[in-house]
Amino acid sequence: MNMLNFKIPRSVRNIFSYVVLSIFAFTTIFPFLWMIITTFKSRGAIFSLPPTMMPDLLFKPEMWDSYIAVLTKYSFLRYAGNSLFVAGMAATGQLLTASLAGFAFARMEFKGKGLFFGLLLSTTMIPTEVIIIPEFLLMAKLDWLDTYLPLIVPSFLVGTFGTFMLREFFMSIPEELVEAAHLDGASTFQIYRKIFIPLSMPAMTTLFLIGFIHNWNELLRPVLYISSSNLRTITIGLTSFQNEFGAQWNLLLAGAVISILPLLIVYILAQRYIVEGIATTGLK
Amino acid sequence: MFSEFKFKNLGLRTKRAKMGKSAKREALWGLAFISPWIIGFFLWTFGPMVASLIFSFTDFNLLHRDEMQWIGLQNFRHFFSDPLVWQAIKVSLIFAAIALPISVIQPIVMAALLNDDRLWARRMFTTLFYMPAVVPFVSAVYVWSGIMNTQTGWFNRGLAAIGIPGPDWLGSQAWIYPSLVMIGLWGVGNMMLMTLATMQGVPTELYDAAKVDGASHFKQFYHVTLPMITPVIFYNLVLTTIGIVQYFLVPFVLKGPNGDPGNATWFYGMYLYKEAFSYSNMGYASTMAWMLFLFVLVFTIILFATQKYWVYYAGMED
Repeated sequence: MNMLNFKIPRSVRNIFSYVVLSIFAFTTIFPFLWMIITTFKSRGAIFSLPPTMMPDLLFKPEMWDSYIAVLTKYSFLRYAGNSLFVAGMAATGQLLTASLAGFAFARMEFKGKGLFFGLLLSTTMIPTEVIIIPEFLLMAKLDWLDTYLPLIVPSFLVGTFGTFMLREFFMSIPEELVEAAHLDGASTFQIYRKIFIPLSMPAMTTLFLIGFIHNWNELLRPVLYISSSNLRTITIGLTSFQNEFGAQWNLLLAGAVISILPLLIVYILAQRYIVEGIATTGLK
Repeated sequence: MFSEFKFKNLGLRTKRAKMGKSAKREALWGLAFISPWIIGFFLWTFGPMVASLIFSFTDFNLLHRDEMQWIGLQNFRHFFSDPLVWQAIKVSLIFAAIALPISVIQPIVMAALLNDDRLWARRMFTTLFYMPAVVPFVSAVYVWSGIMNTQTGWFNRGLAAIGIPGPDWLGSQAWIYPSLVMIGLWGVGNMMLMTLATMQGVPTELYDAAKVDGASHFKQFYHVTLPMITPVIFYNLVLTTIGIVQYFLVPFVLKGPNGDPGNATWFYGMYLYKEAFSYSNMGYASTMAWMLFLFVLVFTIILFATQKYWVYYAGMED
């Protein structure tokens, strides 16, 4: 390791850091930039050779044409609304199950706790593949195909990530609060409801947001379960548009912007919650 | 999740055992509290797993469901002689060979650069690098397929500007793999954030001690930071491996379900998906799913066994 023991002056290290960070930053931003620029181009301009970064419709009356076409003619307003509903319901659903189970794992002693917790952790390693076929058949049997139920109902009863995250958070709540409430005669459920839930609003918000993003982005289950075009979520809306109309980049990317924008706004507004939630618990 | 807190925290609550008389009531409450999760576990995880295990020994086809028959190990025998399975395994191995090292190293590099208190605009960089992770992967695939387009894409134009003739990124059997890895790296933010958080948790005394010994910046990183973040590297390695084994949705959106170009994107998950949902061969697809699960299980057990040689858990020494 002797060659690693060269002392490099801080200024040189700094320059190196900023150069590498700038390259990463450029490759991170460029796709967003190109996407947005392309949506402000006319049909002819998207295939011009060599390609330009200057959108020909910028500040012209037709500037928003791609967005208007995609939102109305190609139903993306509807798809976005569908996704909002599905992702919102699924993200809300997990809160109850995850907070109850998280509370039990963090603050209660009961037989089989270790076993159940082990099971909880092991579910992260189970590939979707061993579950999806019987799940599909079950949904078909329940006559839930082509409804939102398969996309929402399972979220109400699972939540490995959420349970784990809220457990971590609940363990940080001081024991004195629990003991004081016990002395006042509060039941376990009251302690959960009146102390832990109000105190854990930041963690619950994080869980809701992460769940929302996850469900908004989901593709496999909507592809399997949704067939009517008016029930399409935004992700299948995009793939169907691409399959039907091919590489109409200005329209396709306007659809992509619509699929990304709500999440980006949520991320920028609630950045602190999301970043901390990911950093402390990892799983997405 | 596999890191030290899992083990530490489990032992923390034993002091409450002294609350003897209410212990039984608490036990019942505890089970009541986790019952929604237990119901979900049996309904959406355990039940389906058992069902697909049973299907794997049958010739269950959704189109002829009344003729379902128990065929013993026939599916498993067919599995090992199925050339399409071997092609899929080959594809997944090639992809893993490129994607796994890069996916493990890239978050460490980014986190190491961001783990500097005197870095200007550090928060801005962190926020920025995580941003693509919230983008739906479907949208990411379309954006990148435009950028990587051979004629109109900026990727090859950038390369041409520095005198390199760009390849056919998405149409050639060799270049499709690096392209898929690049699309994946755009959304690598989760692992970067976790690694960064772990790095920030390394006690400063360790660095102070290393500085007193005259260790250079690189030596500090190699001898202090790296050992201290091995739990998160391990975690990343496990999850990335499981992710790669199941990977198929990005090429599915990008190139369709047929493994184009050539058989280059004939990933295992792609074959399984087609077998189950295009050909309705639920029996054989279940066999494939269980073989995948067994592989993941064995691989994870092996990885866990190697832990004691290279993963350092603070406060875990016996």
